[in-house]
Amino acid sequence: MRLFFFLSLLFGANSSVAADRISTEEFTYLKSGLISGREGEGWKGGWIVSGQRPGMVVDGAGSNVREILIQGTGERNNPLRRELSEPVRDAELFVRFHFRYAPEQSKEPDQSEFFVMWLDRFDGGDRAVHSAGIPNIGIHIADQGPKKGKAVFIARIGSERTTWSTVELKRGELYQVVARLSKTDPDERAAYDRLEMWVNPDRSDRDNPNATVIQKNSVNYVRWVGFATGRKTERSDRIFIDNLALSRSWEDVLDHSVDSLSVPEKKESELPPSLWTKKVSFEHDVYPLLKKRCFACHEGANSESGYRLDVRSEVLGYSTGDPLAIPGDGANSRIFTVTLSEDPDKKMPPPEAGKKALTQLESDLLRTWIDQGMEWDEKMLPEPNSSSDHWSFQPVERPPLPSTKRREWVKTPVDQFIAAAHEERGLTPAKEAGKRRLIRRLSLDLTGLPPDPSEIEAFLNDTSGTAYDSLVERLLASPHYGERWGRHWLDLARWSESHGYQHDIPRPYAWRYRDYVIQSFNDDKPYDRFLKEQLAGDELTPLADENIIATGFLASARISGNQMDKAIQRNDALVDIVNATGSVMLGLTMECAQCHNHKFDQISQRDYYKMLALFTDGQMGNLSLRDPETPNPTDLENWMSEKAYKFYMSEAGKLVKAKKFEHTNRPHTWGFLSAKTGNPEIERLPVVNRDPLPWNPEVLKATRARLLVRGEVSQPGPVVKSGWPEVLGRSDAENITRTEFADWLGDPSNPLVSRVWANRVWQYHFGTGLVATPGDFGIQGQAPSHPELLDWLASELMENGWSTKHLHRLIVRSAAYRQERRFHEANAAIDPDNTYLWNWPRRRLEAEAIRDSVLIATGELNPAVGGPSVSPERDETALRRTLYLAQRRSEMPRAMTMFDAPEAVTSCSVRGVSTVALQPLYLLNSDFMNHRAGALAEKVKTLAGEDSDAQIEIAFARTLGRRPDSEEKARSRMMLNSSPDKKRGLQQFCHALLNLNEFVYLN
Amino acid sequence: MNFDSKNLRGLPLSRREMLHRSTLGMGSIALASMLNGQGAAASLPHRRARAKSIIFLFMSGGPGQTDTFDPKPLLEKLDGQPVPESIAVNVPKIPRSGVNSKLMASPFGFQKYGQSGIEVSDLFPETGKMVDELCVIRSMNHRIPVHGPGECIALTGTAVGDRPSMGAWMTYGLGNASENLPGFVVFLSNSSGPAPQRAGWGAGFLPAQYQGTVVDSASGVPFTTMPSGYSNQNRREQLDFMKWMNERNLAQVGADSELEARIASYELGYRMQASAPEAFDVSGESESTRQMYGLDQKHSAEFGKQCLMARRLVENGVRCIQLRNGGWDAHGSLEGNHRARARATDKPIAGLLQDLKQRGLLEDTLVVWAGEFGRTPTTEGSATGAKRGRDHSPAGYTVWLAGGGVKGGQIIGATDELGYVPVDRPFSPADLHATLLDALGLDQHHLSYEHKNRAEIPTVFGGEVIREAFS
Repeated sequence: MRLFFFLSLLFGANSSVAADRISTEEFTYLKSGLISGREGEGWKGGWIVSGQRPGMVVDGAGSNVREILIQGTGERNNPLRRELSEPVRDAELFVRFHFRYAPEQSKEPDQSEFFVMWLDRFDGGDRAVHSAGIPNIGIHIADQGPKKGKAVFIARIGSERTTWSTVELKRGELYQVVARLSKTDPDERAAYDRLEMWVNPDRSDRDNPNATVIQKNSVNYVRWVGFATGRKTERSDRIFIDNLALSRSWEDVLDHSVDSLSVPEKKESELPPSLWTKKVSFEHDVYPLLKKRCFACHEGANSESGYRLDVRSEVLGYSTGDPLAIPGDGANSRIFTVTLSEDPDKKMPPPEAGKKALTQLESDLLRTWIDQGMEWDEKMLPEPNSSSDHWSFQPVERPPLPSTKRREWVKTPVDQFIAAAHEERGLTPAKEAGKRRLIRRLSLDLTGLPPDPSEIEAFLNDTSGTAYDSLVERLLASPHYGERWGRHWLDLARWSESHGYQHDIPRPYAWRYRDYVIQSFNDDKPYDRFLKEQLAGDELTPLADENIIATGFLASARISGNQMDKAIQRNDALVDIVNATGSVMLGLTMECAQCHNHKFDQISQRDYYKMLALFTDGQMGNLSLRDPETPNPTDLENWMSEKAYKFYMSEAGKLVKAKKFEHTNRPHTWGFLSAKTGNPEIERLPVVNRDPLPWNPEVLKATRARLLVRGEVSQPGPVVKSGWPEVLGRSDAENITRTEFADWLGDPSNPLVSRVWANRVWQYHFGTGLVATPGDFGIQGQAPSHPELLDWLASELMENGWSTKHLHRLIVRSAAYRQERRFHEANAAIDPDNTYLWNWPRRRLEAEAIRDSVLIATGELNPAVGGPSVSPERDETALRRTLYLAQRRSEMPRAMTMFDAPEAVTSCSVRGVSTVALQPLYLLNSDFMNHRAGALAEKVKTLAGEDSDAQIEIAFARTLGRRPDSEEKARSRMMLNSSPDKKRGLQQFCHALLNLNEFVYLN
Repeated sequence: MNFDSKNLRGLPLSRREMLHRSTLGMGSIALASMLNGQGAAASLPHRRARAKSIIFLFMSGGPGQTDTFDPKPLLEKLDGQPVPESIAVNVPKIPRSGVNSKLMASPFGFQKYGQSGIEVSDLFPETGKMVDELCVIRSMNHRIPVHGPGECIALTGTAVGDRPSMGAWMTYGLGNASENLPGFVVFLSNSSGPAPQRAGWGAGFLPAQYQGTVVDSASGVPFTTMPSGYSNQNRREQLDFMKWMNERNLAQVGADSELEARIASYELGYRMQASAPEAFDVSGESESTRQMYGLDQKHSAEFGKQCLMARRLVENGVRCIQLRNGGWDAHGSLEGNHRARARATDKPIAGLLQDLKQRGLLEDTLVVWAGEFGRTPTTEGSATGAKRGRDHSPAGYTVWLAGGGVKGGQIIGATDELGYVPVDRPFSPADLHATLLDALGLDQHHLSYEHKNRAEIPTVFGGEVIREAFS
């Protein structure tokens, strides 16, 4: 299509825009050989050529026209570059050059092209990279996107952003490459933060660049331009360039001289009047054409192209904000222009796929149809009830229980599923673990604390048939159950007690949310209710402090302390909230859709911003509590590190001075409040941050959520209504509240929420979920190992009042759970990863469970539940459970970071397990551990007296929960007696026991 | 979390995965020899290495270039005046560029030093004496004007803080020449100022063993001192007992490489404990050496000790040592601030260079001095007299390199007449990183790690190796 307009523009048109021209170089005055001339307009001096390998002047094919030959060196080279007579600082700058990559001469296919033109402030010498923050246009091998591995045209403002166009380089073809560099802020000192690039554009392509990149860290003016080859440009590659121009206008920069481009044939100069004069019929004219010529690639939700033409709203750019047709303006509608494109990469239907072009009559039909308003028959092509075939988006259906031959093995229905999978694969389950092992496993798994010797004895002595079940009930009723399972939730919630980022200022009352989570688990709060309180606690009636505190889930997002751009500061926090909510509750990797439609899952960018719209009228902050009984400690210095406390007070002091903050003794919590839908009785108190996000209820109320094009705050797109991803059902008739969103989460028809939670519960029991990617139930996630079991558990969850404890009972009472850990060669050959659970999947204890186990062994643990955190300085006097240690993001407790506790930045679904040399050093040499070993030795001595054998028995019981066998006894005696100092020997022996694999693994 | 779902169920890991999971900071080579001589995780140097180790002196907060190594006489003339339009127009419009503030002359004089005659501020009389070893790069620039992200771009290459630190890349690429010490050691000083960014020594998407081990100058590698009452023999007895118990446990459950790795980690820890205190113990150093590093003076003792430890670590084969001296963030009272910071670091740094040189270590050891950015040539706010300070300025700043094959006594690049933006040979952090890697024999393009289907390299899209820096 590039030629349609040029005839009308030739000659006369050029002179009208000549004033826009900045510089030109046609190379015609040069002689073959090294470039040495100084002509061309708008330049300061002549061309500078590389001493490595310069650009050379050669005769253009078949005429006296000169062009420049550039070849690679195998490394970065700048063969030629030139300084403009004046630096350009205008709000926009256009550049154009002609370019041809000569056909390969060798037979070896060459897959490594690289060639760019750069626009910079400086020359930098022969080898300068001109990448970091420097605009580049050219070609490179795509490392992502549909053309991955192919040489395509790119636009880049390095080194963090490259946009790969879909235009693939064809060797031998002559291209006109055009780029526009522009400033969002027109100030002459501002950065050229937007770069658009066109390949062989027509005048009408102004709004349809082939690639656009936005990067605020860019050059603020352009004085030098140059060409560069790289490592991927081979010595034998031959690249020709010609007709370089820089200009201030689109009209001027396009080169319309026909001869310069190798165009096979000429076409009409203008769009002829339409051949269609009558009213177009959708049913009889348009639909058959679309169906026959377009739908093969552009129909259906997972259409390979990413564009669908079978849905009117999608043609109008519904999910991306990027319309394919503008009703009433056929000539400028993409679905029409692409049919006429000369560019094989843009042309539709694609010639490379052997598709015939549309006839002129057919093209005109499309144009006329759009001109006439783009009438659509909703009966023939209705708006889809967008759905997906993906397993996790299908409704949960309660499966029948599978039958099994091993009926005697089955203890709960869970086992029928496990046994069926065993039988199908020829696996044999391991036998049941011994009672000592079982009570240790159950206690650690359900409460995070190992049993003490008396509990073990009681269990061993209970020979009734209900001993195991009673133990399960006792543990589920323990207040420590909520601490253990609440901590799992805190991982997901990325909860901490500080803002994060550079300053990481403390949030003094964030601990209330931790206690809320613990209490919710202890109460076996229905899971749907639990989600609702956390998502919409400020909206719920009647107003309750518990619900306000629950919004701490949303408010666990980080917020920067020195982001001066308030729109970015706010958006970063909202994005954090959407990503966490999507991953934790829905098992969806929403974050991909922040900048583009999700590549794999059926989640559009619009879906992302619909979810974000749920939160745009709210903000994190200190929220007042109302219950006069609320415990309200104010001794902050006891629950922040000395350093954090000092910093907090000094930052608060600055704000007090500026009259932006005052200290208060009123009870409050760290939560999330909407200015619009939140209960007006909740008072928002000021926040301590270096440069806090202002709280402006009127502005928040008036905020309309917008789709951000490419995820850029500076690129607001269409307004969107709050809702959930459409693949889960349309929801955009009206804005919904967070309460309504939570109702939808808890609706039995929601396919994800129950499955995701049932899977997580399974994962925390067995170490791995039935879906091994618990935060990704999308296409990229793993398929469930036992799909029916997952659905059965999800059904059980919903049908039993969303009771998490019900799931625990089904799982921990099963035979599958009670197996012992035992390697089995034949099983391992069939199922090396133990995916089908043919024996107990042992795993290392989490950081908290390791430290807590130590405190149980020594008998020192302070079992108090809840309350403010413990500052590091008070750790050894308080001796509380590990989850109460102060959680400032930049100062996480050593006992936790040492053993892979999460960083509380993003939601953590699975903790890693690293085994590194600092861990033994910590466990053997830290003061904390040495003091514990001393305490354990004291305890053992008190209980056992001076007798070595008795000491060994007691020490084994307190640490490993079992008796030593005779060999172990002998070996232990040897260890005890190795030191002449008996007291010391005992302490060192105890210390060793606290380090054993058996002690830190859940066996 | 991005987590490989395989091998989570507690069954044998692959050898390679075990290598990845089972050590911290111990070079893959050292570990490999321990674990049946299995191959290393990354290849050896790609080309002839000029340097074997690197000491990165990170000046957190951002020392002012015009007050240290980039003298601007015109500043003195224009003190208190606005920035001339001809220069202001080139200053990028980024927050806190200070371009509408008044110019501020450096409170410090400059003198020529050495044969090269390179000018160094009066802040650094000792470092000045070593100027013929320094390659001063005056044309660094990026666009990140805040500390946290600035520190990330300076030490990892991007501002986000999710990529591996350069130290981690280097340790990944080279392995560790030390059998008993971490391959990448990090010192954080206690001075005030912006909080250290963990990304600066983190492993990013590389395996955790390549992350820096944070040590402090009082005790070295943490937890290497045994509790009182332990003799080496006690510990050995203890370890032998644990090993016996652990192996017995292992025999019961059958093959389990994760448990095996944990057993091995105790031996590794033991070796580290045995060697680290000695490596970090400077008490045996001669009085003259201690003086050379400024250990005898209160204000320079802490950093001096860290510099001295850095030399000892180099002698022990540690590849990568990062020292962080905080507090250069002189928004006000720059004169007092920079004097104090210089007093704390000048003698130690000069001592380090001198000591490395006299021991013949300097040619194998690359020393880098850099902040996350520089400071504006203008003053910040309305302060007057000695209260004046400067704001952050990433638009143009100075770093220097020494040793490790670097050609000393030279200046590369230049800023404009006021020191605002580069006018010659501008370099990005990626260029600097490519250069440091090159000095260690690592080619930025060949040092890659497969992450999320992309072969990631340390410099993201590549940087220019500053060849003239080397002789």
